[in-house]
Amino acid sequence: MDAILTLGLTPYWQGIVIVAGIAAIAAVGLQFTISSGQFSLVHGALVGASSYTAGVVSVLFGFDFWSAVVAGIAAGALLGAVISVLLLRLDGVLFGLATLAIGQALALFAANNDFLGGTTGYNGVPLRTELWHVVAGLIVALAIVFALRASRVGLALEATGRDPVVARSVGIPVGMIRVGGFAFGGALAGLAGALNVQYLSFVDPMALNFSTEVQLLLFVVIGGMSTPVGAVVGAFGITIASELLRFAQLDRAWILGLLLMTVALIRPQGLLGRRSVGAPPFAGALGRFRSRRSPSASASDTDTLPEHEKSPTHAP
Amino acid sequence: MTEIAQIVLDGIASGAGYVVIALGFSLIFGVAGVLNVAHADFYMVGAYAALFALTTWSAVPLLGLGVAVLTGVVIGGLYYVVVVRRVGHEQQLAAFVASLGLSMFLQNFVARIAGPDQKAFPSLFPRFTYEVGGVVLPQAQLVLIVAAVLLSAGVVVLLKYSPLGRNIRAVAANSFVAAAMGVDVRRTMLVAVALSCVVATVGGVMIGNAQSTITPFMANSLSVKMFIVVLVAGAGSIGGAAVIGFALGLLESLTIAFFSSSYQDMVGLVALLAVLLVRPAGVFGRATRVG
Repeated sequence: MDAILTLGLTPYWQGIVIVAGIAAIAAVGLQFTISSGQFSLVHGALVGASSYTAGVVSVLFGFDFWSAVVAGIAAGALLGAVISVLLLRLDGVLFGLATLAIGQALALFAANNDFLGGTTGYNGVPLRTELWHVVAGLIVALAIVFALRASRVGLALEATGRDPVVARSVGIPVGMIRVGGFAFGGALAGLAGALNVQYLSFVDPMALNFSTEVQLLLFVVIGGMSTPVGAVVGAFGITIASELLRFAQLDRAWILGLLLMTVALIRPQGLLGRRSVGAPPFAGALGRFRSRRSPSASASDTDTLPEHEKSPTHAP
Repeated sequence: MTEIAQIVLDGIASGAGYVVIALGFSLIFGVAGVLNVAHADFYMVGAYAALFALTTWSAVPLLGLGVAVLTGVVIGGLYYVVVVRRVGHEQQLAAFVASLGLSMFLQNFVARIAGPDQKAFPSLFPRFTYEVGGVVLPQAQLVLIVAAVLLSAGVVVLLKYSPLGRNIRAVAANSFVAAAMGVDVRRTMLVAVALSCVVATVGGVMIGNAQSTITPFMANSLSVKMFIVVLVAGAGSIGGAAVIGFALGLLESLTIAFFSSSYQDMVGLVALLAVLLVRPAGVFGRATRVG
């Protein structure tokens, strides 16, 4: 039984898989939100905020593991929904910029709040996360995401992500889809946060800061923004690679930054992402900024691909 | 009365820092359609370059400024070649993501070379504090305020009245039509981007001088303010960014005086969300952007 729960891994590799799995859950959540046309740069902060929530309810009210997980998920979903409602009228890169501002303001708030422990962070959360919690969480998250993507809701999400105006014109409730997409992505970020705080026993404002945010985005961008599998591959690949590069600890961060920049400029669709003919990379989330797509390019990418081929292509 | 004057003055002083950074950020977005998150890190790089020159060669203030200007030109040129020319308008999101990576790279690379800890920034001028009727103002802050006013006024005048400014505005409005009218779009963009970067690096020296310490990660808290200023003012509005920058500084210093410093960073966010709900394009923004 024990061997099954630990997948037969050594404690060292169990730790790595736990960290990578938590990152993957958050990355799948971010990918889901992005695919609804909302380029979120607040998911890292949502993970952090849910960590604080799960930690506080565990320490103050004595919540057990599962109740703390539910509290974390609820916090992430609620925050995500509120942010989405507040930013309903923004699109594209400006949406990303606004979410980045919100996330970083939350980080500054946590750092200045004495109740949450200020810059030292919130300590003393019971250590309860085990490997199988993380693996089960990731599998359940992926199962729900794939089920949603195969459903009418998934098609509506895809349509909204590609072009909100067209989506609205065919009767898709764009506002609801966007808020739902952010709330579900936020719920996954919340799950990741609740698992993380009960694995580390503490959370500090660093968990919400700019580097964490960029790293989470890196998982999604490297793997390919158009598919949840890419997010998982990106999260595991980069976490394991950084673990192997532990001897180069100090050089890790700038290398990752350079990597993100290179991928964004040279292969914006990511390593696993596909992109249909003629469509600019990231086209889906560009919203109203997509002004210069030639009509012929639009026509070719709509006409040549069957429906199921189209859905996970260039929409991030 | 004295207290109120002091609060207002403090607000203007911190707002000056926001203005200097938001100015170039807004200009790059307006002209090239690129949201450059790393812009605040350019000012950090400028401050470090000036610090290096001042401590290794000579402590002449003008040398620090000269090195900062040179750094700005080099950064601007590189940024134009590597990011703006490659992606730009058609792939705004790719450029945005690239600038996130660039920001992470610059912060951690400078931390790797110069060390992650605070460094003392030599004062450019003899330290001196003005005091008028109980209101105090360190000279370094006055320099920063004057620099912010001069830089923003200079950029606005340049845009409005010079042939170069006319070209920049034409490219920002519609680069297709501008090209058809004989404007060298690439050269204009290059100059505008370099100009933004010079404003940032010179601002970095002024801010380093006012704060007297610098760290590789000092851009992080300031870049949040930069985003708030630009989103509230309306992306691409230069004069608006200057007005809102000072206003945000004032608002924060009033918050500290009447509530608590722990709300200092939240008040800008609340203002941002309020503005976005009412006017998503920003206070000075146009409702739709062309090109």
